[in-house]
Amino acid sequence: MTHRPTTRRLAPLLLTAIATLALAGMAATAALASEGGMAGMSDAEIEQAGHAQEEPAAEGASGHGAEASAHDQAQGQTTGAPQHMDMGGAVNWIVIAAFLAIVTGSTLAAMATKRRLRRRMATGELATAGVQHV
Amino acid sequence: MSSVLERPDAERTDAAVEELELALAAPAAPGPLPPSGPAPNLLHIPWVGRMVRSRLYPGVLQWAGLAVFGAVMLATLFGPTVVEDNFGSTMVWILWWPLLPLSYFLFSRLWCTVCPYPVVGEWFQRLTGVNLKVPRFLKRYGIWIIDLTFLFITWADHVFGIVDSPRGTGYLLLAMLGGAIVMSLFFERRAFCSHLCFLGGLSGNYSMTSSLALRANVENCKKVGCRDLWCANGSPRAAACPLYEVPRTMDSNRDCTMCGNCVKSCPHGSLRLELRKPTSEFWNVRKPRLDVAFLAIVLVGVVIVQNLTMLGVYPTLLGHISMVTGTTNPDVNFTVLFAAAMAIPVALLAVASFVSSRLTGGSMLRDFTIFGYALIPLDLAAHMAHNLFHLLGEGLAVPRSIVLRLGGTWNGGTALLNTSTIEVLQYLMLGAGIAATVYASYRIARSAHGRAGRRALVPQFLLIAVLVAVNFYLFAQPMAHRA
Repeated sequence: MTHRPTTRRLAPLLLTAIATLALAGMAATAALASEGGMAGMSDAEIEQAGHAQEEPAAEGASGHGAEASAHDQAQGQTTGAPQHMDMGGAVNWIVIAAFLAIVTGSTLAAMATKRRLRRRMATGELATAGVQHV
Repeated sequence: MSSVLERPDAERTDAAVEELELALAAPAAPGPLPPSGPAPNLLHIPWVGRMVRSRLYPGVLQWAGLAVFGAVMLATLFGPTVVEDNFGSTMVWILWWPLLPLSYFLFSRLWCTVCPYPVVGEWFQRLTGVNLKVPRFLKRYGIWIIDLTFLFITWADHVFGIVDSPRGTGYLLLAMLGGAIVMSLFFERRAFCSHLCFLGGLSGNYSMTSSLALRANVENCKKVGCRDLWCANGSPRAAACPLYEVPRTMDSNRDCTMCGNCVKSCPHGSLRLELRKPTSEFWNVRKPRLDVAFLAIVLVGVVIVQNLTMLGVYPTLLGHISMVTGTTNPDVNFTVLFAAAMAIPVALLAVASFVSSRLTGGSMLRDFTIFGYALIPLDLAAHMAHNLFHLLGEGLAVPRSIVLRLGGTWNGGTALLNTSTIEVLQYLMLGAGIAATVYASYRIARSAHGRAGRRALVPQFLLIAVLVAVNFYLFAQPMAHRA
């Protein structure tokens, strides 16, 4: 087998890994938003949380900046992440663990690929593939 | 060097390397000076030349960037969950993001050299990198992946509230770091930055407006008969060009991160750090690319959406859309708005280019491409004007978050300037962008169509007028803060 099929085979795997990372990040953000957000709260609770968020914004803002984000208003929420979102909650650790797992897995896969290429080069299999040394 | 696959420099003989060592060792630091040419070479300024050739450049900047990035990651993943109290969120969205386009204009893609992602990726690459060549489809379609990723992240930000959540910001940064590491482990050089990083696409476009450009003095390369291309392939003194550029043939800032490797490696002093007319690159590009033009026109829509979602009129607009879609789900309605905001500018440019091509007898696709480039200054100006509001209107949120984290209290506001002053600056910036876009369109039309260029300009100027009117309207509306 030549050098080209190796990269061809690897590229979709890598893209999948990167896409998984991105999707995991998005999913985690969405999970946090629903877990710690306003879902399931009563109107009074939402209003109370809203006031709690608006105060510091009003304090630190100038001109029209004291308004909550229009996007958040449209979403029925106030500016910023929910106050009671757990610091270092389960979702957080799952994302970090997934990140470490992907990085570790990729490192091991790279080491294995390198070993395999070295072996094939030693047997002269890659002589025509333009590989100098690994 | 741990491993090399098909690297041209690996084929070099020891004699060639020795020759280079001698050439590098012989002259004083600046090397044999090339003819100065039409523009001054900033590398001839002693401290600039010394700095770029120094072993500490860009390492010092990279370490500083890494330290800040580490603090940002810790803050976003483990710090307070309120944006305005979180150092990471304020640092990223109120300081770094607004300053980024400005840095591209002033220093080209220097940020990409300082960026911590590839630096961490290179650690892994040195540890156990396979250094495979980048697959052909990534080379060919990478920029389209970048374009789509950029749109996806912009969309996801609004739907999932990435900017509004420090954790979301942390996960986005983590995902990008993971991508950089994984790509660096398998592919040579900075494959992630070159083919997948969505910021790389943005920076490529914006850096083309910059006055600063690193180029090779081709005459000097020919005169000394250089055939080794140390500048591109690296030397014992510095690594190969991380973005696969060959300075001798480079005609764009798109893939130059100002890392200085070529300057360090060239034994003939052929590299030039030039000052040029801002945006002049647009009418000097030899091979205009459709993907670059597409990103340029799509960015017009991105800025419009970013502005819209921060305006008081946004909920009303969603209400109108809900009447069409039949659902009150804000995410669905936003998606419709987002798709329209991306599609309409593309369609308008397509129509303008169709008319231009009819008037000049040229190709519609080519006009779409070349006149798409002309919109980049407007993109940059609108992007900077939008972010100016965050930078100057709430810039003190960064020190505030640090003070609060250290247990102190912050009694003042977070604005650096009042709103009316910021608005004046925004309009000035937009005005500069419009002037640059109009002038770039004129020069592009002249160089592409000669005398017929004036006719081609009519529909393009109409398009620019529409985009300018929309932007002015949006910037005239009161906008909400990030923190």
